[in-house]
Amino acid sequence: MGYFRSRLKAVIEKSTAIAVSGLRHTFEGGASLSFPDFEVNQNEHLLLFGNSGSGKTTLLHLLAGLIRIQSGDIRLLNQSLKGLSQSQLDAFRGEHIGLVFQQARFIKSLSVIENITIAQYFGRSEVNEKSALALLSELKIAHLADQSTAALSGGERQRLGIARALAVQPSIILADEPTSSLDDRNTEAVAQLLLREADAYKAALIVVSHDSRLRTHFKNHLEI
Amino acid sequence: MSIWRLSFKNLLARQAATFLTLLILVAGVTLGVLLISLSQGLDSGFRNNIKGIDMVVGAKGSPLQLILAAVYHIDNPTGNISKAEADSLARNPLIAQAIPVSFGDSYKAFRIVGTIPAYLALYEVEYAQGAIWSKAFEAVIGADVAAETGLGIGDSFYSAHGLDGLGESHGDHPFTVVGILQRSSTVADRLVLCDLQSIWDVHGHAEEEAETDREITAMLIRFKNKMGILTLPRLVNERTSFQAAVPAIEVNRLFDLLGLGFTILRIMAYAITILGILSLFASLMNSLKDRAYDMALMRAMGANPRQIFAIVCAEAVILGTIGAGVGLLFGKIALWVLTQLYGAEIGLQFTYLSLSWGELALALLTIVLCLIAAIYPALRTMKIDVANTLTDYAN
Repeated sequence: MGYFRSRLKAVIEKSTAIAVSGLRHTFEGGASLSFPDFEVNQNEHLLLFGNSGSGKTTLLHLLAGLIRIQSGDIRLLNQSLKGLSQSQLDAFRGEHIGLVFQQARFIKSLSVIENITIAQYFGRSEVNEKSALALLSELKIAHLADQSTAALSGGERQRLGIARALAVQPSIILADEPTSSLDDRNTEAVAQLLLREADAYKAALIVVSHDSRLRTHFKNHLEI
Repeated sequence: MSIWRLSFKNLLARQAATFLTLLILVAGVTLGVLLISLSQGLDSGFRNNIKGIDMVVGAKGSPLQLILAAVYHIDNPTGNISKAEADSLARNPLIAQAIPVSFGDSYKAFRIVGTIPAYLALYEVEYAQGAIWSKAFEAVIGADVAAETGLGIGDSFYSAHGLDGLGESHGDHPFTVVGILQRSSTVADRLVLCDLQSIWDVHGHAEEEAETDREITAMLIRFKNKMGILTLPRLVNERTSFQAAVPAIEVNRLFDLLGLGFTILRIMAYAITILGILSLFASLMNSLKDRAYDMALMRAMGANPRQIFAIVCAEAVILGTIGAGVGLLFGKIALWVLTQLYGAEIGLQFTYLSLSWGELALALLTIVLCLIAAIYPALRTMKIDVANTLTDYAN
């Protein structure tokens, strides 16, 4: 009976991938933001919707551990970010979080596939060219593996950006305005891709955006 | 993918700045290697040729000139001295060995030196072919003489008056080559050697001259023990018509004279190397802004600040290592060329095949200085605000 309870507890705890509570952030200028409490489970998607200036990106950076938490708390995979040092935050982010940016930008001196393996390297997972190549072909850009990232089209860049986020098989995927610079067709494709890959990796997905075209793709919305 | 590979790729991505920095570093290290090897080579080259010669006795004049003429064969003699008087000096009990040398003629600009077989023993030369002379007008030639004139055993040649190879030929007394020496990296490589009689006979008046009127150019003297150096040079200068010159002292004097040149070269080598380090520093500072986003991306991928710091330092170390390596290589190539062109003339051998501790220290110092130059840019890069940088570039 005790065993069963602890298993159940583990399953419940594991299933809550992201939990935000009482989060507030004050900028150097004195302006301050407070964020609503929310939770995202493993294998769930959430669209954080807000206009510019609403603090979407700040929230995303807080979630990614790129900004230190001032008050309130964020628990990722049952680990409070408040209790982690900067280096521990870096390690946690590298290992568990895949980040997708609005403008997919890459390390200029590296080729397409090297931009995936460098994410594996910094994410402390095994550097594996085979799995990097498999990932590229999953996103249909395997033929570009050895090219410079400067040669990629807008759609290809966004695909590579997503591939990089998936390089370490993250439990959490955070996307910052992934579609705001794309046309309707590409927006559709990127949204589908993000949802599909998040499901494939059983990851929790948070997309922050002011792009209303995304609303139809997400069941769960949160206005901030 | 590793820090080193990433740094290397970063350097490749900044080709122009990397190449410029590398060029200056290579120039500095090359000059440094040349400097170290040239001064060591000159030093050992000059000292090699005075092994076994404690004192040189010759006609009065400049002692440095006497040494340069009688030992190194790169200057004109100060004049002649009486063989009889020199022989009587040689009987001094403090003297272990006295080798007379007599010269003034040449063959194709190679000096013909009349001497005794002990002269050959002085330089520990071996015969490539043939053997020592057994009578007048038999000659033993050095390795360079054989190579450059094409003379072989049994060939004969006529000496010319003067040392420049342009003088009037002594047409009636041909020399015959009986021995060719192996290369010894001493002055012997570039000399034609024969007995004293040949030199006297060439000038045609030997038969009429009395034994006592015979002259030689100088006498190379080795002392029995260290006591000789204290008394003999003074004795010669005060009691005879000769002058005594001590090679060790004159060589030191020569290096003192050359010292200023070396000092200027050394300052130039330092200045160029420092310029290379500054160029590296400027290039790293310049690229700070350019790659702030790259570094922020790496942080977003999980790199910690220490890794970012290491990436910038690794770039400097790679650049320093390549600069030092290529500089060493170029320095050695330059030394090889110098040895081929000029080394033989004064019997100098530069160490282009091995690394000296000084050269190794120079290479290490260059790498360490590059690393030091990277520390401040690396600290700045390490401290970039990741969130702000990612946001700034996104909009």
